[in-house]
Amino acid sequence: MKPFYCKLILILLALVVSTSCGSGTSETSSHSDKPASVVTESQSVTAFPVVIKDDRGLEVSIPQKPLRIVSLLPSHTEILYAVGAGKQLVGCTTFCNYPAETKQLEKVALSNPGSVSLETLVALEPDLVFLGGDYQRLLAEQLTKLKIPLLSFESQSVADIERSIRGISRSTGHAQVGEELIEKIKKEIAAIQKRVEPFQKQRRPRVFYQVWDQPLMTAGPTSFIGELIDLIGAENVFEDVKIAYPQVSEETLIVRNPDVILMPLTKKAGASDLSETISELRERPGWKKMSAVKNQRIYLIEDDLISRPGPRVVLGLQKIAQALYPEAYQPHSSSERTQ
Amino acid sequence: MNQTAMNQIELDQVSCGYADREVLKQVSLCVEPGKVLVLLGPNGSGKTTLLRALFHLVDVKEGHVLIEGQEISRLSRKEIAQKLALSPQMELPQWPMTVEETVQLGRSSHRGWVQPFRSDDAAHVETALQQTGLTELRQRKITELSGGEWRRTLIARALAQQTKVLCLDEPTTGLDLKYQVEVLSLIRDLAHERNLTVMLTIHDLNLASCFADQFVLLDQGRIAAMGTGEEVLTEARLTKVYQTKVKVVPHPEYQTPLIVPIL
Amino acid sequence: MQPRQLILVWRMIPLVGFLLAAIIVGIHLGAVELSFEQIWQGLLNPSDASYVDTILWQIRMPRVILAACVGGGLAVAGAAFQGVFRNPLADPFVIGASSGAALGATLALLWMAGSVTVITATWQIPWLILSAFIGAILVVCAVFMIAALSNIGRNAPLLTLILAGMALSSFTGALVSLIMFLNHEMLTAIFSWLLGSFSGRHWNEIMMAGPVILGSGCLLWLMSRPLDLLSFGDETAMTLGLSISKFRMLILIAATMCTAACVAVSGVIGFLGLMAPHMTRIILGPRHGLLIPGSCLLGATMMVVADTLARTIIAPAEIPVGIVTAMMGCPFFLFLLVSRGQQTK
Repeated sequence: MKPFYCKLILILLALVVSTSCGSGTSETSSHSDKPASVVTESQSVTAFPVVIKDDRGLEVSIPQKPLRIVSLLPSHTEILYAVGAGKQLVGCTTFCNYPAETKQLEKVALSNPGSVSLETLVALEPDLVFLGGDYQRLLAEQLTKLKIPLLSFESQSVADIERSIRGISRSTGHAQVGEELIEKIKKEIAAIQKRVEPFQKQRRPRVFYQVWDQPLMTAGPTSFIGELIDLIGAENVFEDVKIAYPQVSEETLIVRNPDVILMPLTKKAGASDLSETISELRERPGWKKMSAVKNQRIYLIEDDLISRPGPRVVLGLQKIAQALYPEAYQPHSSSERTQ
Repeated sequence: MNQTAMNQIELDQVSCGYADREVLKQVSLCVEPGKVLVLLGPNGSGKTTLLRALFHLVDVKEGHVLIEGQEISRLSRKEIAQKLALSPQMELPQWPMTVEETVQLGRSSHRGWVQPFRSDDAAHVETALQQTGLTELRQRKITELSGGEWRRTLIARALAQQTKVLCLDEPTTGLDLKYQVEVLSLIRDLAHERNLTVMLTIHDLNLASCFADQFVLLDQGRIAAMGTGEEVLTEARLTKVYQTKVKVVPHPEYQTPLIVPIL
Repeated sequence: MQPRQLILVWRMIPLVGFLLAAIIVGIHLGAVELSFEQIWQGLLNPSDASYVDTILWQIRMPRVILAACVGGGLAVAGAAFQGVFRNPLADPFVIGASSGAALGATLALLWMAGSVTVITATWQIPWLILSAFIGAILVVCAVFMIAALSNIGRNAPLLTLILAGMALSSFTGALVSLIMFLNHEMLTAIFSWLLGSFSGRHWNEIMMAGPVILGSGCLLWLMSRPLDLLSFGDETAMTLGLSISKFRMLILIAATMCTAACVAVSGVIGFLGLMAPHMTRIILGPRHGLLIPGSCLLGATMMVVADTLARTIIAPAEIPVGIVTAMMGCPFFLFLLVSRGQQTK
């Protein structure tokens, strides 16, 4: 009797221990594109120490799971929450507005790299700081001098999203969730692309993204927005301009006659602004006869969705797709998912 | 004789100066038309300030300055400019206008700000250029003139203003002797023949002695003496005011006082 | 008229010619090819039919004409400021008009992005333009007040104005920088406005700025003789009959209104207000009766050329026209250096 119960208790204990630790990370496939990459572990607690190579080319060793993370880039903040590291965050910038939990975080900077309050940052005693690549290069040097552990990942293009998610998830002890998120994003992007593909057969929609009106500025093909437009299979009417956010000629726009005009929906604007915007564009001399204006194919897209290379890129892409291929999103058309 | 209407210019107990110091102290002076009045005195005695007071370029603290019986504070600048003309002591030519254009600006007070200059303005300009010997230089840029040529341009501008009163501040400084004599002769002829009132300041006592009718000697802001050449230019007075020993002898030609320094 | 003046007046004719040529070439060249035939047809038979007419009438022509107006306005204001301050380095922005406009525009971009003010039912003035104009006027008024209240204001009025202008420019410039810093997402918009551009400006802007520029320009031309007198110095001007404080104020107000209108519609375009009067002085002499209209013509020509370059060099992208004029400034200043060096007496 006694030995049997002992074995039973031992087995029960083993089961309890293994299930509680089984929710940790387990590397099913390690991507070998990162040479100095990660140790595959199945327990999150033994995922550390870990060595991550960031976009500066430096290998940073993370001794243990960071619990006091500061993120200095809104897109990285979103990634942190998406991979489940939200509770490990203690600080971010005033521009990190998604998700709502960011409100509780201490703000150490405004939206530009020069506005970081190093004192506030240091007072938070962070054990890991996430930066946004070359954009915050000087800041990286400053923090390195202060011996604050940091990882810097570029956040300019769609490819950067994958690397950022991977790097952030691994360094915070959520490697598995990170990989799943990457897969999910890839699948969803592919799904959107597939959905709109049939409607590209006759003609790719020609789109103009207006960043600003006076002077007329647009997003070129090298910008993030330009990349999204390309991803969705549309044609940027200014794809021959290789500047990220160039000032462009109004005349050329009229000649090139886009089918769709996209504009950012700023936080201050409200829902009624769409009709105001449409009538304002129609008032603009010379724009009245543009296809986009005549057919009222003018759409406002929330700025954060399409300017942050982060997990919500899918949502942004979807909104662009809905704007460019309305037929693909009609209720009666066959689709895997509704809005 | 209270002939204030006859007197073109009258200063009555005038004290004036600048913010931090008073230059003229209770100066009273009457200037009659048809005469050349010369202001003499060492530097800082107030000669230039007196002339400037006539044009309301200095604040008059006490007393009255009257032009044709009217207080200058009641006259507008344009009205003053139609009655008085000034050839200033110091003025730097900045923009390269021509001599003729500069002299022509003297006609502004008569023509106003908008009306173009007319043929009678051109005639007065022509006369002024001739009188100062500048006809050959009329197209020269004023930035390219010699010191003396520029001074003659300033005199010509004042002449073109065709006023009843002509004030000249150091008109002979920098001029060759020939032009010094010419300018002073011209001024004297204008005063006597056209009944103009002329006031000038000058450093050269001997030239003043030859050409002027009335002499006013200033010393530290007060009038030390006023009258004819013989009355004013005495040895004792000049030695005291100029603080150097001089001897006064009669001019060999004109018997006017000739002042020679004694070393 | 005297022969010299006649010669100078004849010299204005090529200036008019250059301006017309610049305008015609400016309408011809651009991101979109408009051949002379198309332009001619478009002028004769204005219609809404083809995109050529739309571009010609709605976009290119108003843009070129506005460039000419603003160029002329800045040049005339520059000539007036150089005359009043007796300083060949004075430009229209010396007493703070541009920094005031920049502050006004920045505040408008911050608070009112895009919304339009309705003055009459048919005429709308965007907040941006109105705010920039008012900002310019307010800052210059503040400069006047500081100058009037200061102790040395009476003895050295010009110097006081310039110093007060520098002080306020510095302050408003700092405010603009601060706003740009705190609102990083507006950085591009504010910066683009500051650099100056004619992109996206149409007949509306001409109707707003044109009358102000024309009116103040004409007033300044009428002030030619006072400006000539002032150029000899305050005291000389007074002895020649000018009540200088009255006229100086009038000239400064007119020149400021002109500058404010130019900057409000097109941003801060530098160097033109400084260069054009200098170049005109070489051709037409320093008398303002000819200098002011001459500067207007030359300034208009230069701005049309600069804008044409700005929108054709990297077409279909555009460079802010302020960059082009700044680049034109380099050879100009070098030329000035060389010519002054040869002028030694």
